[in-house]
Amino acid sequence: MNNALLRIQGLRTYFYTEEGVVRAADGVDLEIFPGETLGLVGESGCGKTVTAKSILRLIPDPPGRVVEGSVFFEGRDLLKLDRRSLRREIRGNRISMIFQDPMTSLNPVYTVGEQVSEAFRAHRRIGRARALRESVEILGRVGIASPERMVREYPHRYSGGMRQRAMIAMALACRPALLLADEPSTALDVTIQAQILELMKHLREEFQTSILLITHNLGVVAEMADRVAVMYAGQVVEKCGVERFFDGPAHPYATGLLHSFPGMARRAGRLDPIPGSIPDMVRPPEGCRFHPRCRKALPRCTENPPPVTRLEEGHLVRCWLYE
Amino acid sequence: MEKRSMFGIVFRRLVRRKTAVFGLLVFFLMVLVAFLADLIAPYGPNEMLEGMQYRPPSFAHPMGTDMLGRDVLSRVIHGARVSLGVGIVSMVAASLVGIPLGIISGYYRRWVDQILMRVVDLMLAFPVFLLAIMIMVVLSPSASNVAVALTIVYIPRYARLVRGVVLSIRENEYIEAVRALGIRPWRIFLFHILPNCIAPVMVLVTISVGVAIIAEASLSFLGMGTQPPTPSWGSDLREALTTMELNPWLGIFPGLAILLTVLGVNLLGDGLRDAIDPRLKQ
Amino acid sequence: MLRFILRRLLALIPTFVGITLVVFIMIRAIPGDPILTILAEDYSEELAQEYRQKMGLDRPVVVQYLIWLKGMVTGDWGNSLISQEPVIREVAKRLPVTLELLVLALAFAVVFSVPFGVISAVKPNSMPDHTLMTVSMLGISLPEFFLGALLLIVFALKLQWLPATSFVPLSGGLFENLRHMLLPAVTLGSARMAMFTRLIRNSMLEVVRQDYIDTARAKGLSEWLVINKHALKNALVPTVTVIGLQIGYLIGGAIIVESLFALPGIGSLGIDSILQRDYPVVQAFVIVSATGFLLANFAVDIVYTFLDPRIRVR
Repeated sequence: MNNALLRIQGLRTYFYTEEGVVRAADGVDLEIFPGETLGLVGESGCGKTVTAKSILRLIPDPPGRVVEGSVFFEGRDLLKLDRRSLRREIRGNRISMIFQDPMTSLNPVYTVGEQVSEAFRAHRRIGRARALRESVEILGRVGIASPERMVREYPHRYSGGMRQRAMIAMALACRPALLLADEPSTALDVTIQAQILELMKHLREEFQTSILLITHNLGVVAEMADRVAVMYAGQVVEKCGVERFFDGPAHPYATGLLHSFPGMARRAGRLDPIPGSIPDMVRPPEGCRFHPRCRKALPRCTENPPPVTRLEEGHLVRCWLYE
Repeated sequence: MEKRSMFGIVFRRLVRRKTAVFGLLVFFLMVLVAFLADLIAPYGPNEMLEGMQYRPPSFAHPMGTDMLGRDVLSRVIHGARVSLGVGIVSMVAASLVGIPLGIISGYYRRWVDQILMRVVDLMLAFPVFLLAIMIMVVLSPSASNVAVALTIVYIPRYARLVRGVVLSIRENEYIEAVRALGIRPWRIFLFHILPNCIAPVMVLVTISVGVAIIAEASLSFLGMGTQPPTPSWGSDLREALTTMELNPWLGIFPGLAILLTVLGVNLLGDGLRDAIDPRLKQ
Repeated sequence: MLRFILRRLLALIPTFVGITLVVFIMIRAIPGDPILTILAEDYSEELAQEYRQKMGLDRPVVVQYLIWLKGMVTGDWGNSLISQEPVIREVAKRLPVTLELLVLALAFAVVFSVPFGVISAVKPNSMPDHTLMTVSMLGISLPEFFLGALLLIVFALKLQWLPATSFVPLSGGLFENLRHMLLPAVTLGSARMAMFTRLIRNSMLEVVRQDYIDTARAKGLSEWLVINKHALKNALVPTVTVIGLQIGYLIGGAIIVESLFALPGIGSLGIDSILQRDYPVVQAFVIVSATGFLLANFAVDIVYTFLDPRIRVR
C-alpha cells in the first residue's frame, strides 16, 4: 500500500468568510496508484473540487487556506514544497488539471495556440515557433480538425467540446503522471460528453496517466474509474473498487447516491433521492455529518464522529454501522 | 415589508464599512453646517472688518481674513450652502425628471423610446463639463442657474440608467404575469418598476453629487458660476489665486472644504454601491 | 479592418450633425440681439438691417442653419468679434497645445494607474492596497483647480523648480516644452489616474477569480505571467471603455487647467471668448471640443476591438 503515486492525508482546507469558517475539506484521506483512475464522487459543495485544487495549491488565499495535512507525490510533500519547484516541476508538468466549464477555462483574449504553447514553454526550453508546432501536433492528437488553422484561432471560435479537447491537450502537453479532471464532461452535451470520455480513455492508455476524476455522474464513474471514493461534507466516507461500489456500497450515503442515480434506479425499479440537503459547512452537524439525512442513524451517530473501518482489503468506510 | 428589509440589509452592510460611515458623517456634518450657517458662522459672510485685510489664521480668525477684511471661516461656512445646495438640489431634480423619462422610454419602447434616446444620446455626446458651460453661456451666471445647468446635464444620465433597469426587469416573468392580470400601467410603474430603480439611482445620485459639487466650484472658479460677493468655495478660490503665494490660507481653506465634502460624498457612494451590489466586493 | 473603421467613421456623421444643431440652437438661444453686440456704438436701424441681410438672419431658420453648417464644415468659421482674426486660424494655432496637454495627461494617468491597480489587486486589503485606495479616493475628490493651485504655489512659486504660468511651444525645444507642460499635465491627469487605479483594481479582482486564471496557474506559469499576461489584458478590456467615457472629463478638465496655467489652448480660448461674449469663437470652441470627444470615443472603440477578439470583425 505504500506505492501510491499520490497520497493525501488529513487534508483540511478552510475558507475564512464573513459568515464564518467554511470547512470545505475537513480531513480528507485519499491515494491514487500509478495508472489507475480514481472516481471522486459526491454532491456539489462536498469538497471535491477544493480537494483537487489543494493538491496543486490553487486555493485562493485569502479567503482560503490549507490549514493541515500532507499531499505526498513522488516522495515529496507538495504542501511544503517551495513555490518555485511546485511551479516548475509539478504544476502542468507532473500533475495537470482540467476544469469543469470549458467555456470559462480558456483565456478569451489569447489564441488557443498561444495558450497550449505556454504549457510547453513553461517546462521545456523551447522557442515560440517550436512550441507552436508541438501545439499543432497535440491539438491534432486530441481530435481538433485542421489544427494548423485552429491553433491561430481564439477560444470563442471553438465549440464547448473543442475547448475541452484543447484543455486536455494543454494538460497532457508535458505527459504528466497525474491528471486532475474536475467534472470534465459535465458542462457538455451528452453526445460530446461521450466523445470526451472516449478521448480521455484513449489518452490514458497512450500516456500512462493516472486520473483523479471528479464527478457527480455515476455513469461516468462506471465508464472510467477503477476505484471510487465517496465524499460527504468535506470528508471521504467510503473508498472501494468500482465493482464493489456498484454491487452495493457500505455507507448509507453511498447507497443513497447510487439509488438516486437515474441510470442505476432503472435497474432497481425506482428512483430514490436522499432526503434533505448538504449541511452548512460553517457549522457541520455533530457526530456523523450525515446523520440528519441518514435512515439508519443510531443514537451514537448524533454524538461522536464515526471511525474509519476497514471492511476488506481496499474497502474503507466511515460509519458507526460497521464498528 | 420586502422593501423595508432590503433597506435594512443595505444599511447594515453600509455601517459595517468604516470608510462609508466616515463619508456619511462628513456629509451630514456638511449639511448641518450649511443649514446652521447663520448660527455658527462667527461673522457675516460679507462683513468687512475694519483694518483686518489679509490676516493669517489666528485664534480670532482660524482661517484668516481676505483682501476685504472678511472672515474666511465665515465665508467657508456659508459657502457650504451654495456647494451642497447646488449639488443636492440639481441631482435630486435631475433624478426626478430622469426617472419618469427612463421608465416611459424603457416601458413603452417604440417611437417614444426612439425619440427620447436620440435626445439622450445627443446630450451624452457632450462632455459633462462642456455641456454645463454651454448652458451657462445661455443663462446668466448665478448659483441657481448652475443648478439648472447641472440638472439638465444629468437628466439624460438618469434616464439612461433607469431605462436600462426597466428593460431588464421588463423581461422578468413577474412583470409579464402582472401585465397579464390586466393591472394598469401606472400601478405597474409605481409598485413593480420604481422600487427596482431605487437602488441604482441612489448610487448614481450620491456619486454625482460629488461631481456636481466639483462642477459648481469649477464653473465658479472660471467666473461662470456663482458670482462674488456670494460666498462660494470655487469663486473664493478664484479671487484668492492672485495673492495665493503670499496668503495661501485664502485658497487652501475653501479648497479643503471642497475636498472634504466631495470625499465624504464619494466614500458614501462607494460604500452604498458595495452595500447594494456586494458582488463587487470580495 | 480598414472598411470596418470607415464604416464606424461614417456612423459618427449623424451625431456630428446633432452636435452642430445643438450648438446652433445654443448660440441663437443666447438672450440679446447679436447685431447689437457687433455694431455696439455704431448702431443704427439701417445698418442693423444691412447686417441682418448680410448675415442671412432674415431668412428661414432652417436655411440659416444649413448655411451656417456649410460654413462650419468648409472651415468658414467667421472672425473673432474681438481680434477680428479668422476664428479657424486661432483654433488651428491653439489646438496642438490642447492635444498635447490631453495626451500627456492621459499618458500620465495610464502609465501610473496600471501598475498601481495591479499592485492593489494582487494583495487586496494589504498595506499597499489600503494606501493606494486612500490616496486614489483623495485624488478623485480633488478638483483640478485646487490641485493645480497647490502645485503652482509649491513647485513654481515657492520651490521655483518649474515655470508657473508661461508656455513654450514644442518648436521651442522638447525639454523646455515639457518643463512647461509638466504641472498642467499632472494636474489634469491626477484625478483620472486615481479613477483608473480603482477601476483596474476592481477589474483585476474580478478577473483573477476566473477559471482561466486557475488554468494558467495549473499550467505552471509564473505568478508574473499569470497576473501581467493572463489577468491584466482581460482586466483592461472593460477599463478601456471607461477610459473613453473619462476622456469627456479630461476635456472638461483641460478647460480649467488651461485657464489656471494660462496655456494658450482651446479651453482657455473658449473661456476667454465666453467671458468676452465673442460668440463666433464660442461656437468654434464648443464644436471642436465635442467633435474631439466624439473622435476620442471612436478611437477607444477601435482599441477595444483590438483588445477583445470576441468582437473583432474579419
